Amino acid sequence: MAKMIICASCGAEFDADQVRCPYCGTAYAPAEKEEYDEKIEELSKSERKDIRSAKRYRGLGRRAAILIALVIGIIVMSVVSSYNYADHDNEEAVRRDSEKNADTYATEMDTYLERGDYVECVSFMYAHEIWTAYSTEFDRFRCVKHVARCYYECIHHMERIVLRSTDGEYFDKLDTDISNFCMYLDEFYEVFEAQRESEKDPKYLAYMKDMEEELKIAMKAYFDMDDAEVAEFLDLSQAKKGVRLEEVFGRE
Amino acid sequence: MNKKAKIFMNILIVIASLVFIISLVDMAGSFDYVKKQEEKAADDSFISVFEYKLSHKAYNDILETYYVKRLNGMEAPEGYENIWNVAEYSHYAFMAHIYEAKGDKDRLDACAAKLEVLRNGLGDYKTAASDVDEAIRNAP
Repeated sequence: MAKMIICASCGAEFDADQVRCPYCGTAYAPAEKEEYDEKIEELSKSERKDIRSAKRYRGLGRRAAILIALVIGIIVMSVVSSYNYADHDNEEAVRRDSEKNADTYATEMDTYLERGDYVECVSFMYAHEIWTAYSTEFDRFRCVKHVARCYYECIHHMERIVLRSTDGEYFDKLDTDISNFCMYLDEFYEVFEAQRESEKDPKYLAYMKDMEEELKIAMKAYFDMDDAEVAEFLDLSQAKKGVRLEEVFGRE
Repeated sequence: MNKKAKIFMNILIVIASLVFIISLVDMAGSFDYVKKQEEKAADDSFISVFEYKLSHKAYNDILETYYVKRLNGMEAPEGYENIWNVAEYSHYAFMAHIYEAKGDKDRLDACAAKLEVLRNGLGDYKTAASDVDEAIRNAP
């Protein structure tokens, strides 16, 4: 007796030799495979090879397409991100410009220093990212630039102290400004002592000394001190300097 | 062979998917960065902030904006011209007093000339020059 099969679709019973259910036409899987094998047998050898090869590599093309789409997406997003960041953060471009025009910029820095416009010189260095430029043109400023930066910070914070609002309704940051000034003043002297030992060029050494002199004069002019008081003030610790300045500005 | 190729492709797809997600997050972050930069610029350029500082004679804070902006360029950014002029006047007036005390006539003259030009360029904010001069005269 022939093996009977129950159709998965309609539930009818039919002979296993049949390819499809005689009632609803649903294919019987083992029979389908036989049908396929029969068809394959009928094909030529090269056609069979083509079909098997296509079967074997089915899915690789789809994977390659997904991969290409992902790579394109990554490239597009990277370009967009770079554009968004680069548009606002042009530090690297400024640095490259400084490297390119190092000769001109170094001359300009010398002009500021000759004029005694040390604050302007430091501003120029910040604006052109000269602190991190590698050009050898800037090597000659390696000592003076550190002293100038501390001088710049001292002047900046003295300005904040002197030109603060005296309006009681305005938020007063005098304590912070005094504290910052004292910190930068101590740093100035540390850097000044260290760099003047290293500076070989008398011209730049003279600028450093001039900055030191100007700071002392500024303290005399703005903090109502004489030479002895300035000397005494400079010998104080950072905290005591702060207390002394708060006394000067009528806080204690 | 084909099985190995498929496994290799699957691994590549997983790696690419991870990079894709990271890139997506990075790109979203870059748009946030742009937005924050725009908001920051808009906040800073509010003239009312400058007016507020000016009304309280807080020249120290006007100078602060000037110093911060100067880290990125020597020229006044668009919309900052008035802040720039007042701050520059404040700075040079401060320095002029030091040169005067030092007895450095050359630098004092150069500073005075610069102050004159700046004062003439202050326009509606000429009173700021008088305030700064007074603050310097009365220090400490």
